[in-house]
Amino acid sequence: MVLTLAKQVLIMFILSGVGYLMFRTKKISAEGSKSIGNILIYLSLPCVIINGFQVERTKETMIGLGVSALTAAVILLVCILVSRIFFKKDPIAAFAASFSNPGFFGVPLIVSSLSQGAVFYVSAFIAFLNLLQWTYGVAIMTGESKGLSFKKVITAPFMIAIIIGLFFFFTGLKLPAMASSVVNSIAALNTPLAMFTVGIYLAQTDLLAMARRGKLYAVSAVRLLLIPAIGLLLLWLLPESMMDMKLAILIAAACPVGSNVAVYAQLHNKDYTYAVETVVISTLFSVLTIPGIVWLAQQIW
Amino acid sequence: MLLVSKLASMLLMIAVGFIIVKCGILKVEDSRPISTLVVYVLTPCLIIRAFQVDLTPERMQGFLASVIFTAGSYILWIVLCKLLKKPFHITPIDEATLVYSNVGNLTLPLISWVLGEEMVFYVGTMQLPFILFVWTHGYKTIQGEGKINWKKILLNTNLIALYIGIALMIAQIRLPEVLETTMAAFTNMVGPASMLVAGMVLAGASLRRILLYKRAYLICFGRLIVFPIASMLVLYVSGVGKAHPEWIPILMAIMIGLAAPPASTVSQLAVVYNKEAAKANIYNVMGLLLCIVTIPLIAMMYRALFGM
Repeated sequence: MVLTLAKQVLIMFILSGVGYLMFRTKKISAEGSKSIGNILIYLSLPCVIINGFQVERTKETMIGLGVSALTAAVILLVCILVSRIFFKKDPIAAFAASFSNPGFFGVPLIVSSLSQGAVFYVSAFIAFLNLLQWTYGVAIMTGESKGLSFKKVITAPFMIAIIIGLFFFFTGLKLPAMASSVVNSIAALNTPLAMFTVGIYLAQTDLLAMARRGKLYAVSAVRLLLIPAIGLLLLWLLPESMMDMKLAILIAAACPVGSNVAVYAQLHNKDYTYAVETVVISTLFSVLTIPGIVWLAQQIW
Repeated sequence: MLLVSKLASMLLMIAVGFIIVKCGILKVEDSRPISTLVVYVLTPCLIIRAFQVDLTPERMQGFLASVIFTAGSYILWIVLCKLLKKPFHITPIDEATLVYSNVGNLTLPLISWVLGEEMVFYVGTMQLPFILFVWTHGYKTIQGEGKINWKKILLNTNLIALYIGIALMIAQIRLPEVLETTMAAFTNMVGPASMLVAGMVLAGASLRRILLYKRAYLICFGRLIVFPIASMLVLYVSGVGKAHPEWIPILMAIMIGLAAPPASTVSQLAVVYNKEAAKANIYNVMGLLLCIVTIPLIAMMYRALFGM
């Protein structure tokens, strides 16, 4: 498990390195990274969500979807509340601690330690996470509570994606092969583009100062230790027959800070370099904490 | 036919880019960093990865056949332009548009998506004659006079990627797994990203103005149909297909590259030297729109002619 994680971190390093170089050689500007951010939010992430629901509808998957959705909602609520307790005065830290990156780190881990099919259990998690970032996340970041309006939720690109995804799931209709391959291809753009933005933001921070910034360690502790621990206890309540789902969701909840925090920060003109630092520091620690949490779960459950 | 369905996927991708800008969700400018990534990172990686193969005598021969066919086509077309200059009033931009097709940013993704990575190897080799010719003949034609820009030739990112790829291939060095995984991800991105950008750019163009410009149809007809067919016929008559049947599929990939819309280098040069830049851009867009129909046509013709 540590090996898979280390490999992901290395890939993240290379991908963000590309972004870093593009910025340094002035090929892509900060404005450019905003554009990439827009593409992530309005195009690739919605496709990731639609893709996530492209499974065959059986009794098992329906129950799986229902339970995983409910569990995801509860855990995400916990994430938000706990972060709010610790980081009330620091919106970016609160956003960072609340929202992990289940896509980049979670999915490969789930695939390698569980199965490809287990990825379905985090589809709801990913969908809700994005929806919450778009509403609650933006609201705390900008300080405006209009982000929590019903209209904003309904018109979110993620809501539309969820509706489309669920539509195809429940009706059992399959997207025509061409459309499905297009959705797939766009979804595949997500991770590299997200990592490019991480690199572009990193190129604008002081890397040495980052290591000395205490707040980042606090955010990491909450994101990587406290919240997963609570998640572990909550998931304990689920029956043993759902072990794969429990582990998948635990892994998703134990992932480091998601790069979206920096993307949203830039799109709303906040301190995105601070935001990206939470991503980097928490990512480095996660190589040890995720295996630790999973091991703990396997002992206790 | 697999080719058609893959092309249809690409069309859908272009449509997505088009719609998302027309609906105001994204702006045309949002495509620029993606375009930069395609040019400076994704395409070079595609080229390098395409050369991560064993250097066999067959590949070597296919390599040479590709380069010679490409260079030969350029020479044929330059001569054709000279002959047609008077009757058709061919201007420098017209000539550059007729001779130079897009063998990098559009063709490589198209080929990789539709024909597979083995063919990317051969189409990648087209970079050599393309860059050499476009930065000598093309440059001189558009600019009017002046020295050859050797820096542009030698420092071209695709060419550098080609050098690296070839060097690794000869030395039989394989990329480490993590790098290979990353580059594989890039390779998968090239097609979708390019098509998305193309769609977004199309949404920003004034389509009415473009579609009403009559000369564009003429020049595009030349670029997309007449000139490629001329090459195809010369190839057929030369008997190379009978002598080396194993080259036929390879040269089809090259043919598609040669039948592509005009190279973006041409419109970029037109802008830099202020020679009918608007015209060049119109040719670009029109070429992109029409190639959706003409490329499958050319592919079908080639297949029929060479019995594939």
